[in-house]
Amino acid sequence: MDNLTELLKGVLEGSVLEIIGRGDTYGYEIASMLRDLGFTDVVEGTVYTILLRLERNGLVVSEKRPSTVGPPRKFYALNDAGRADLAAFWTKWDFVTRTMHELRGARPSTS
Amino acid sequence: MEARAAALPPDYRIVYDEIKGYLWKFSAGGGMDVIAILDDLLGLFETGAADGRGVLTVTGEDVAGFCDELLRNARTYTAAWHDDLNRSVRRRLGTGHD
Repeated sequence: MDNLTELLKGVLEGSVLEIIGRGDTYGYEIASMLRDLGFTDVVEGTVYTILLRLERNGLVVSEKRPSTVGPPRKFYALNDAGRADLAAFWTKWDFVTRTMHELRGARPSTS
Repeated sequence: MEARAAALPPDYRIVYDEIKGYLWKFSAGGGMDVIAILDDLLGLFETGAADGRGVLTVTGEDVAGFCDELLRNARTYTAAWHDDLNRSVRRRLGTGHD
């Protein structure tokens, strides 16, 4: 779906953490995964700025690894702070989705 | 860094120059943070160019929007004014510690 940029802000950060949490990966691969999921207007640059922020906030660690073509790629992995932040993200996400369902008039899903 | 920028394909070079100019307009610190951002950005551009992708495929069509996200990692005038305003309000209301 297109034109999700505003709505996705914040959610993308959690999505990137979730993807990194499943195994070391790099920006282009993360962006491709998000596009395959249906977030069609996510470009590599979007993921790149999120990765910069995550790294600056001490939630991920990066390592440059040589590539078969071209310059080395920066691979990212979660650290303990990142794993805690990811868990907090899903808690917030559950709260937001539950509340939005309520606002819309649907019964919140029982969990 | 300039040699690395000069080695990029023309479309990347144009966008790199535009981004560089934009970031410096907002930089409020010593500039080391902007240099770090630009240095890392060159890495992104070099990889994108090596993979044969066009520059706007990497940054997205909204290059300024991309820059604004980059600037969240730098000390900017707008961030400084933002903090000044909140500090000033706290001081004038007598609730702050400053």
